Amino acid sequence: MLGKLLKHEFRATARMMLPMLAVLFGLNLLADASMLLAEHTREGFLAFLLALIVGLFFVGVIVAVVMTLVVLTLRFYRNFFGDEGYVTFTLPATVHEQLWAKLLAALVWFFATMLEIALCFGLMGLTLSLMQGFDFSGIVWDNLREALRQFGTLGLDSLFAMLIGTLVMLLQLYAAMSLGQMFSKKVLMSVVFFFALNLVASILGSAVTVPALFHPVVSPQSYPDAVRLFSHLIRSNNFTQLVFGVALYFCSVLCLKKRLNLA
Amino acid sequence: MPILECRMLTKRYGELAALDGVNLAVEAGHVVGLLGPNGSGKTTLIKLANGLLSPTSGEVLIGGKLPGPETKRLVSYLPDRCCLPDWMNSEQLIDFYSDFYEDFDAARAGEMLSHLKIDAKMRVRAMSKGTREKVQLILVMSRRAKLYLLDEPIGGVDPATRDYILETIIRNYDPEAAVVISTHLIADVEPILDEAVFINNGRVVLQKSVDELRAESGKSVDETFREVFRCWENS
Repeated sequence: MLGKLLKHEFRATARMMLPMLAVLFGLNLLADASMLLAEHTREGFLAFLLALIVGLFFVGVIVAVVMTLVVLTLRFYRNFFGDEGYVTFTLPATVHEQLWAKLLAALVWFFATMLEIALCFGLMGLTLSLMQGFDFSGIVWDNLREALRQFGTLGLDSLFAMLIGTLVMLLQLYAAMSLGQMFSKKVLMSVVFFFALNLVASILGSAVTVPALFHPVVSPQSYPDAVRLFSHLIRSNNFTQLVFGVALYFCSVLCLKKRLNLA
Repeated sequence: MPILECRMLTKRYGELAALDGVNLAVEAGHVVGLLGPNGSGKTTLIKLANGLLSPTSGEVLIGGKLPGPETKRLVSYLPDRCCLPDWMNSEQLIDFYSDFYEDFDAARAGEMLSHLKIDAKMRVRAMSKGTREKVQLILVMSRRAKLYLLDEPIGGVDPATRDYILETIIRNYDPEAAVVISTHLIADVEPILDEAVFINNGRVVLQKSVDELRAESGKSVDETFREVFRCWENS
């Protein structure tokens, strides 16, 4: 059943996400072409226009991230608590399957957006390297190797933190909406619960990071100790986020199972 | 065992009781009219049976089980409004229903669509209100379900569409299944009913077979309904 739910979830979200990603990629190609053209133009207005296109791409990047969040949040709300909810919640699927389908599809779209943004910046770097005559891929590779040598597993911890951070952000949105739907003013209460959960997340985050900063063994003045401290902080934070995420997940499950209110 | 059973089913919204201790049993093979004025609790009862609302107290059982994924396999539900995703077309909707319901007959749905000359490629958002309701009904009645819960299937449509909807219900339902039709348009559904349940202010005030009701009162169900609810209004 999860496979079927995922199929239809991707079908529903792709009609918004794919054109958006295509537009962003198109903007990037335009920006790259503009940079190449700008090298050979002396005309003021044309140069301004080309710079505007490059600027538009950077605005596009911000819009793409915001749009991804908006599209996926609206999809969750409408498909669960709007009129579509009457179809969604009469499907022979468990609440767990329904939630996982939303969560996995949203994660895939978030990482697809991030990957495309990274790809776009990579293309931009490649264009710059063509213009200035430096070895872009060599620089990227050398820097990656150096970062891995210096920071070791810190990079992996940071990647894991990014994954958990996205997961928890989505779960926080889902939990806020699942709690909010129990009231007559669903949207307003969802917003209130989102900020309340945010407050809880901040308190939990501080409770873990602040004591770690005063750890007696490590001294941030020493470089290896600083890396170790960061690593320790990220890992502690990952663990807290994971626990918080699990709590948010079961909060949503409980609301949808026991307190669904499609009144 | 009744296919639908309510035991002291109560649903409150704050102080207001939308359903107040409802006891009800619907057996397979019957077409039951859930009849009552607007706001009497018909929709609440149907939503509770579908697990779209949680009861304040009491329970509703489908084939002896509380609403959940298993009971949703048995129930085909027509909501009182169009709830189909408006970006989908009929073809995609048939694919959607075929994927999730093993008892969905895609060929039957396709036949009904072409019989009504509904373009399978037309998106729901481009359809008229009547066409949307027909498409939703086609999807619901193309299932071989054990229980059909139809909430106001003929409310707000023209008489020709009304006739088509009632004809579709009768032609397509499995005689071993039960059909519960919630409506306040009694005269239109009376010819197809086996049993009538009168509901008012969240309480079942009468549950009888239609033949028995007619024989006892010497009146049609519609006339009895008017009489019963006139009494309630005056009391």
